[in-house]
Amino acid sequence: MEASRRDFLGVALGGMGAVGVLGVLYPIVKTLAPSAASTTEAKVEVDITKIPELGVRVTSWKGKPLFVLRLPKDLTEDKYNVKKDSVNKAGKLNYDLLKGQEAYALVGVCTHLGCIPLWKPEGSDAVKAPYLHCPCHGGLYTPWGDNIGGPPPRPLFVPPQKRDGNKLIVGEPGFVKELV
Amino acid sequence: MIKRIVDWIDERTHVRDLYREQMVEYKVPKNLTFPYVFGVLALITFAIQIISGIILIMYYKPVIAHAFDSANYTIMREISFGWLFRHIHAAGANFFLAIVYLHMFTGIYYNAYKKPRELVWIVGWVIYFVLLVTALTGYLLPWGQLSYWGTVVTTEIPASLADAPILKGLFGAIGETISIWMKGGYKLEDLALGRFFGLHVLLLPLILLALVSIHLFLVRAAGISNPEGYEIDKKNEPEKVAPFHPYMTLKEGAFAMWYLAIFFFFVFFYMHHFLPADNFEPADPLKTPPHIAPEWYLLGFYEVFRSIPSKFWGFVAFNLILVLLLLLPFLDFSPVKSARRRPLFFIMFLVFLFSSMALTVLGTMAPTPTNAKLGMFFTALVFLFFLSLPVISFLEWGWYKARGGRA
Repeated sequence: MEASRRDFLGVALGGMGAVGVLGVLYPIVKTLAPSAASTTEAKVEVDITKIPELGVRVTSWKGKPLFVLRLPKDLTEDKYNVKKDSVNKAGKLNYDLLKGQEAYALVGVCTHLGCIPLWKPEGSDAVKAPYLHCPCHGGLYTPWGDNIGGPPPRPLFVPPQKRDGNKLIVGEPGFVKELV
Repeated sequence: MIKRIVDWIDERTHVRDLYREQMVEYKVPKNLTFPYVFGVLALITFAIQIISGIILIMYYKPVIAHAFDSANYTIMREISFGWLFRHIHAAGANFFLAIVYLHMFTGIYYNAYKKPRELVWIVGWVIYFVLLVTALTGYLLPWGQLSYWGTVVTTEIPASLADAPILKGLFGAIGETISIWMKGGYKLEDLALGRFFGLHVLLLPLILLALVSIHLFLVRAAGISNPEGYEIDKKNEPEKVAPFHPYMTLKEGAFAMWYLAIFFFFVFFYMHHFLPADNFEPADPLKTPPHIAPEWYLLGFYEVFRSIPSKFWGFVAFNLILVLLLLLPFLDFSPVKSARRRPLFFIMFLVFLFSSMALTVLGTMAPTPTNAKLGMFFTALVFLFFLSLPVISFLEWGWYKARGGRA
């Protein structure tokens, strides 16, 4: 089929029109994008020297509570009776991602029904080591967020994070690449 | 695939017939000149105002504690491209009125308000009036110094009725009542902002939408006027008309592209004309900015108002000009149409055009005694235009009859 002058004009005009429509729609759609204020909230910096050992700093990341924990070097997950089959999105225990880090961040929302767990640094009669306890339905987590007991179906979420000197930067990929 | 979907719809709604009747079989005079494009440009600007306004309303807060920050922080800095839509909306308001003025002068020049188009003109006048109110109410919303003090002055204007030579008490009470009812109290506060906001974003746009639809329907019903001033018999003079589509749509489309290019040139590079620096200072009820004048599209009326020494007669004069504009089809009852064939009318049209421009320019200047005299002179010329119309019509009726009823 031979393309006529009219076909060419039609395609050229239509193309211009399409470019124009895109040019109008792009800023309109962009006004609905997350605002500058909410995107700055997607990155949190915490100075870990300000957190005592076995302490927790609670802040917020993307509108959710964020626990930044600092643990003594000798604390390992061997002390806990962890449910090994309850794994995060990466198919691993949180401990496998976080071990060796003296400070790290967890999303402080119970994976059962969204309550905020409590930090029990002294342990208790049942768990003889520091742990996280969800007051709503008794979910029990290790300090790394792995499940010990109770109804929660999976470990606590771990946000992307990296270390930069004394700072823990949550929201940028580092030793944890993405939210798992 | 698309053809089958359209077929399916067409079988049920006959949209193809509608398109053919309204676009292709709808014939318009071949000799329409460039100024006939202003109607379409006004329609485009109206669409631009509605789209940009919908985006702004999502982030604007009509409470005086937040209004300024929502306009100048949330919209200008926080929302992606929020600044663009505010620029478009502010420039659009000015362009809208500029195009409407050009459209009105075109209508006057070609006598497009005469039989059978009187209603087109009258509805168009109401659109113009509602548009002015929309512009005034929208002007307050950013809650800057100019917004605030501009509105203070506007709401004080009805109070000039108190200067009436007779029935001072009655006129004064009417003026004060109007002034207070505009504000919802003695001060310009949340109540005023709330009602201005409600009018600006909901009631007035709905009224405009309805009026514009009626205006377009009336144009279709009466047919577009003709620069030569003859009524074309579409059946018997097919050589004088052309299908609306593609001839008019392409021609007007090309002009629309030029218009949008100019419009966006201002939006991106020359916004300080439409968002003056003074208005980026929050409203302060205890400090009037040093220079306060209405927007350019009201300067003509403002100059009439302030150059006449009596506030009452100034008020009457500028309202009378508005009323005379409305009555134009009845003041000008000559059977001859279009300034091209009416030398006397053409001269008076020029007088009117230049007086309006002169009044607008004088409105930007300091109110010295000389300027006030010039203002009164040009005000007199504007009235002379309106008063000359019945005289010219009377003369033209005589010539028309002498030529045996031919124009």
